[in-house]
Amino acid sequence: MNNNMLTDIHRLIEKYFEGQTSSGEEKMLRDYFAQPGLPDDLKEYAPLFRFLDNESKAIAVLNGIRLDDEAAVRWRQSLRKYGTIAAVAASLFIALILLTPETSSTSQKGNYVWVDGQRITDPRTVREYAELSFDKVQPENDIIADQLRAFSE
Amino acid sequence: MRTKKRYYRLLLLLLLLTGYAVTGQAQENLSINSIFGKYGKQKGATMVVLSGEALNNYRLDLYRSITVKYDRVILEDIQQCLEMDKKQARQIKEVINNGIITSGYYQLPEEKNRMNRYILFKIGSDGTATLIYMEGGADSEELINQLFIRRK
Repeated sequence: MNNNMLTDIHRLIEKYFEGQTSSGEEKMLRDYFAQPGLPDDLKEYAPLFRFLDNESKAIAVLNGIRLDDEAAVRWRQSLRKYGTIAAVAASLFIALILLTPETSSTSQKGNYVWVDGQRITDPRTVREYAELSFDKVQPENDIIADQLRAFSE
Repeated sequence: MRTKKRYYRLLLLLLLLTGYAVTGQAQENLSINSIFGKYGKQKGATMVVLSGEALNNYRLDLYRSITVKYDRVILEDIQQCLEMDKKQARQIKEVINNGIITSGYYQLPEEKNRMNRYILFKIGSDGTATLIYMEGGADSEELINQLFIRRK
């Protein structure tokens, strides 16, 4: 280890005890005292900077754990929030579809006739069958007139 | 904790509303609609569907009819559907012989955004039964009544 470096270390130690070292300089001191083969006159400082090195590592680990926890909590909260929003949106969508009134009670539109299982779309044929079916439901007589006539007989 | 409870209550409310919507929608459908679906495309049946411009002269929006040859099962099915649907009718003209509806005219009430609805049914002397369902605007009632009373 050269004399310049030793001088720098001594200067940093003095600066440390004066409370004027930056975090980078303190890290330099911790890294220096973490290595073996220290000069005799500096060995007495080794326990201090090694403790500080351990403490700073422990704090870094704790900070990491706390950040992970906070991230996990935020993630769970976001999941819960967006999951609820998605469930609400899905329910509203379903309700909207079901409550939209249809213009007809049947979904079948168009003009066609099914005869013995065969579909016919010729307009004239369809109309003829429609008129035929309507004729079939015509009453032969007026219902009320028939009833009243029964009393007069 | 309170927020979580509020979310679950809101979800439950929405689920109940959705369930109510499903029930309400089903009740609006008429039972006779199932007759057209079940028997309309069968051999021996004739089913007519008309909608749109083809019905302008009659002031109708929809016309569906089905004519089937006499079949005890089908007739019983139709009878049950008529018994269900006529409960909603505001005007009924029917003839019942030996407990069987042999002819019927039912006008169902007009609802919001819905037209007048008509159900006609008759068991003919030719051994067939005809069921008709029609929808039309407010001005269809008079025309349909005229057509139904007598058409020559």
